[in-house]
Amino acid sequence: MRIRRAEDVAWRRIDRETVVVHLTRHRMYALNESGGQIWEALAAEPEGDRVSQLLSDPDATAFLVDLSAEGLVESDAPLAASQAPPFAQNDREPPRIEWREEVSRFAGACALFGGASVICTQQPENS
Amino acid sequence: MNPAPASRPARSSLPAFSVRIGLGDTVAELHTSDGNWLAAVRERYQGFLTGAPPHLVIHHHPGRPGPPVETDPSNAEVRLNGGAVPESVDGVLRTQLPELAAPALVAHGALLTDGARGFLCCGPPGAGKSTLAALLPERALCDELALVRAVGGAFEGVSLPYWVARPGRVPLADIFLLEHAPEHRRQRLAPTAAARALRSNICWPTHEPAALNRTFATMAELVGAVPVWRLEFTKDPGVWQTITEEPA
Repeated sequence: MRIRRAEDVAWRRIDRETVVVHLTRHRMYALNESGGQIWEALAAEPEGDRVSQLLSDPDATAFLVDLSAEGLVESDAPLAASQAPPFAQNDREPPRIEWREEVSRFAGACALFGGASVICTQQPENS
Repeated sequence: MNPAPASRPARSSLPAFSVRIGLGDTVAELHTSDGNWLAAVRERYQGFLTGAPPHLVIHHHPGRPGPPVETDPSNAEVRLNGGAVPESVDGVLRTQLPELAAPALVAHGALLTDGARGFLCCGPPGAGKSTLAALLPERALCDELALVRAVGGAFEGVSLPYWVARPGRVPLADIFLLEHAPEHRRQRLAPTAAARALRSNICWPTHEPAALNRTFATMAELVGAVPVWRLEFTKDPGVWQTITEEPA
């Protein structure tokens, strides 16, 4: 199986977490440290032994399923969560999306016109 | 230090019904045949008017059909058509400034200064940006929107006009996320928590993925370079001490 990061994403390592933005769905995600390691591994080696190893780990598979549901990764075959128990020897924190948030313009301040241009049509509330 | 954006060839005089607005290093020139528009924009950007050569030209065509805004990045021109309103100029500048002053972003925050350091105080409507600026009028450069720009390995804040503003730019020392509370208190946020909290205080250019990517990259650099704090405060000018105190 081949798994790769989606094209419309940008990411940065911030401290020990990895923050990912989906550039067309306008959502931001933070991956924990072990999730970030998997994320980085997908870039270097989208297929082969590393992916096979990931898919044999139920925690990693569940994480990849989550990423796929959010449109952050693409695979050439459907990903399914494994029913197998996690590896007993695995003492690291399971990979996961720590938080996910919308990315938007200022609420109420701008409107999208003509499909490509942002103009301000009303004042934001005073604070 | 980043170079200033390249300006267009200078003209000796400004055409009639035109105005130039200076925001940090960036100058935008508006042409309109509508005197009411010109008056409205002059009033809004009072204090920010300049004679310096422009980097961006905005042409307003009051009777022209078409989408309210059309952009032409190739020659740094924007056309405002019949459906636009004077506040459209704000939207154009908010969208174009981060590109012209890149790497930069527009934040929803009041910019305060002690003369040498800048303090960006962010929050959603009602969090206290204007309240804070009103409590500290001699410290406030602006009370609603600010440009945050990377300069070398550091960041500077540039005031943008909105409710109350005066021109200014200052090295950014701290960023605060405002919350009303019974007493003054600040708490440092870890970088990823800072990114999460700042997310809702940034004007994201969601109309273009490449621009969104650049804003994201700037934000990621920002939270790594400038301390971000949660600031609880009450309506008392003594909050200035909490804002400016040196970390223990």
